[in-house]
Amino acid sequence: MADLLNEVTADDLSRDQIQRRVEDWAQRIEKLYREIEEWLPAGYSAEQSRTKRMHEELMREVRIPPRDLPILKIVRDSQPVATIEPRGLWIIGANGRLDLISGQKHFVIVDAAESFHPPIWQIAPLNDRRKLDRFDRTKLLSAL
Amino acid sequence: MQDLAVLAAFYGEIDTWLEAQRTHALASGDQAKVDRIETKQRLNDQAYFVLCWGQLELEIDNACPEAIRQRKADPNWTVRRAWDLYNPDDKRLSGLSLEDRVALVLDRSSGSGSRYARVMNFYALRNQIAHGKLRPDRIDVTAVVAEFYQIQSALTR
Repeated sequence: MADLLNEVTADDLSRDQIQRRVEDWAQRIEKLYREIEEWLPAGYSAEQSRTKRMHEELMREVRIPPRDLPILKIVRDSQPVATIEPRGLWIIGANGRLDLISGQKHFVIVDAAESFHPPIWQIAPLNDRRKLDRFDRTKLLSAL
Repeated sequence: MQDLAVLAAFYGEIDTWLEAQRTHALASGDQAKVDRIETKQRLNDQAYFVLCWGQLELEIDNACPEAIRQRKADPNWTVRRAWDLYNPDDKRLSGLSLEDRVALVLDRSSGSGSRYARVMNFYALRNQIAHGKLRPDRIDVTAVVAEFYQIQSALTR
């Protein structure tokens, strides 16, 4: 499991360490969105016109300014069908979480990897998070 | 950990309900309401984390006397001698701290990232919350519960 538990119970995280985590999170999101765009079948497209402000407590404690992270909107035949939105980085039990909402369906996408390791993206329905599966093209399409 | 599954299910139910409220508030553009709901979610996470931790701690407390009895029964004195210091029928286990109780059933020397280290980190988190220092972060209680089951499997009696 991701070692965020160490970070949130530690008293000696440096500003530089926290800044690196924020940068890494932004890069992982960017890479995930690119992967998702590659998975989309014909007729679908994705855009990143909106953002979500990230300013978690650890950032505020060391005066790191807020960071705007992109929200991915998935569109089919010009109609929006889903959004993927970053929900948070410092979560005990996950190395970051995004939410995928498609109509009435709501999923959580979490990174199960250790900090600064290649991400292991997993997806589960919000209302049954025990059903965690590797997040791949098949899972994305069944969620849409 | 007989109540852990029920606790985890109830946590999920409440968080899902709060999330639906958050989605509705977001759609209405009511950011103040979104913020209030997110606060409730963080508090819900921490409340259930402490409850779930209690299940793991009880499991550790049950594993310790078993481990002691097993090794006190060893015919080899060189194995038995240190274990003879403990009374497995003493509910307070001779006043052992949690760290020492965990060390009886998980390897304390197995390094950072080990099961022992993870239990100590969870215990530190539990103490922070239970002693009044609430966390501003979310806790994925479902993921934590899954890890608690893995820890349970690793306890050596």
